Amino acid sequence: MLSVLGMLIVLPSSTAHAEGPQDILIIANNSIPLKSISVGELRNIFLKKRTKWNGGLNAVPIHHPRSAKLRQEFNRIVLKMSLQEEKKYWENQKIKKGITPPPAFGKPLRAVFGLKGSVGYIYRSDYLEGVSKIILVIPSDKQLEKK
Amino acid sequence: MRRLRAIRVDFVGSAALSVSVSFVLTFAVPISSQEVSGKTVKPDFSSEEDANGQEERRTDLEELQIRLERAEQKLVEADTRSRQKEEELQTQIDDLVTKMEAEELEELLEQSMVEDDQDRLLQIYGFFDVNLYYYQIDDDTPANSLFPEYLSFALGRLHLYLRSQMTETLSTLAEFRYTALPHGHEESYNFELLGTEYQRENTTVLDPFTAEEYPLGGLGIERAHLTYSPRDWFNVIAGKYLTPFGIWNVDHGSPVLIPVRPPYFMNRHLVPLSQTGIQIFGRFFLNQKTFVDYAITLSNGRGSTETLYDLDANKAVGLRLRGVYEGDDFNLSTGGYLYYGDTTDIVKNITLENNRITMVTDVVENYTEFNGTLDILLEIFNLRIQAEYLRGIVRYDERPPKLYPVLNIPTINGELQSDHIKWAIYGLVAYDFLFQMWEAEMRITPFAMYEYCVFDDSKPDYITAFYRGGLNFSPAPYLSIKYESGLIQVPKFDIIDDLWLHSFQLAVSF
Repeated sequence: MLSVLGMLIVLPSSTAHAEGPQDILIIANNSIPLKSISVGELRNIFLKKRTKWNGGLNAVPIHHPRSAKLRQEFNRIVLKMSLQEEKKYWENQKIKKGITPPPAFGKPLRAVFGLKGSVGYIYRSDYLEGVSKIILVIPSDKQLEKK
Repeated sequence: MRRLRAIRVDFVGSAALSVSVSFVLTFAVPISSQEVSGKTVKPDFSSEEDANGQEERRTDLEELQIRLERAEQKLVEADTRSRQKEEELQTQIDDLVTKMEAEELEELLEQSMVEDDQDRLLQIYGFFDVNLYYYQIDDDTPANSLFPEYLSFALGRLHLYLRSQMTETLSTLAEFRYTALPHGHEESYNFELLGTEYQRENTTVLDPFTAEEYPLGGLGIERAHLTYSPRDWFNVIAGKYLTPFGIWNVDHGSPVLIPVRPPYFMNRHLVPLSQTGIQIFGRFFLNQKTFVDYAITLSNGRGSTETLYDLDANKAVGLRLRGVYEGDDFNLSTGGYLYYGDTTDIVKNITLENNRITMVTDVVENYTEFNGTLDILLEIFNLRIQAEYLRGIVRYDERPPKLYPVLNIPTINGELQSDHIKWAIYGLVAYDFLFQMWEAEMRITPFAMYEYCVFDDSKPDYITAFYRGGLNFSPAPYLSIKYESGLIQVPKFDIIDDLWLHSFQLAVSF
């Protein structure tokens, strides 16, 4: 308990990561009944095409602010759309179906730790053991290129 | 003789949670023999020296016992302090966790308000459009005056949304449409044959406080419903909802739609655009990229009081099915909707018979309609192709007078409405050109569209064809600047020649 508390007190912000390309970790609140997730499923969750986890728990996608570099990477790799395209997508969804975009937090790890059903993403260097569970690792661009 | 065999002090963990001390003391008083360094020594008490030694040992023993008691006392005190320390630490941890959770919640709440939209709060947003349009009509056209003669500005749609997510499964959505109407609505025309006069709605009132003349507008409820969503595959809506058919009626907002003007079948409501009742809907995922949507609707159906009460006992039912495949650069969606319902209109008559007032209801119109729609949306890279087809059969049990659409006046021959088939089709092709300018991503979308609408096959005058093309410019995701020009043909209606319609629109979501 002490160790988890200590880690949370010094949780780094999303911008505090080491230089250079890094893996993106998809992290989930411990309430989520999943051990792993695919990029396609993740995309459906973040675009709210799917709104529930298996069992009926609300899926709560957590974004980084639009200004964050990681948000842009995530959009490109997972959502396959630019920030502007995503913005347009949500403007349309709001008008068509009354569906609003996921919330964004400066400290997604804290949000994912605290919000039931939530799923977010961080750089590997920002990950702290025990705070949330990792359900997908998206390799950095360089690793992808090597493959 | 005495020996201190062992003294052991164990500290378990850095917090000194456990301390144990064991003394094992062995005293040779009085013993017959004692093993010392492997030799056996026999005690001898015969001399005074021995007696003194014995006294000295007794004193040592007492001193040792006192020291032992003190040590034990210290151990008890240390143990008590350790427990107290542990309890203090636990209290501190609990306090910190509580504080952290409170801070976190506060932060989440703050961030939700200042950053992106957050589900759990009441959300207010909307859209509106401003238009500039011109009907280009030959002066010789008999029904020239049916359309505005001059280039005109118009405040088109102003929609306001209220959305709230009350619990994980319960949410509400209300969409209101504000309009300047009925101010300016032309109720009737001077028509000697029918004896009607020109009447234009004027809602202007005088504010008694300021003496200001103010034209009142109108407020329409596009939809207002409670949604219960326990699962992706099972959701229930209760209230007024948009009919889940096709593409246009779901998109319905000017910032979303590509052209300026809706297709004619939307204007004439070939399928009811909204219904009041219950809808069950959901989504089944076949795999990550493919899913099937369904919706079952049960409502009052159409009617002049449809939002408030049903004028007949028959409820309208509908079924929507839609399959969607979403690839990386290839999306395909196709679906259909079936609608079956009765529409009734009545008049109420008060009669006086034998000094008794009675009220009698007469049905003046009753028909049953069965509509089917098909829609397809194909997106390949930036190319978008969409089409919708609607077809409906209308069978009358009680026939009202046949009216000219738009004019809403009875036909000259005094005909009654006949059973008919209605159908419409449109196709739209658009292509998005994306580019960067002033550090912003912008979009230009040229488009072309064709539609053909048979509103009532028993009255071919109503057949309408509309060819159009235009350009959308979207400098930001919440803004669309549109231009379109189109040729409208009403080939069977003698009093209207072909006409051109040019429109600009500024559509904004906020």
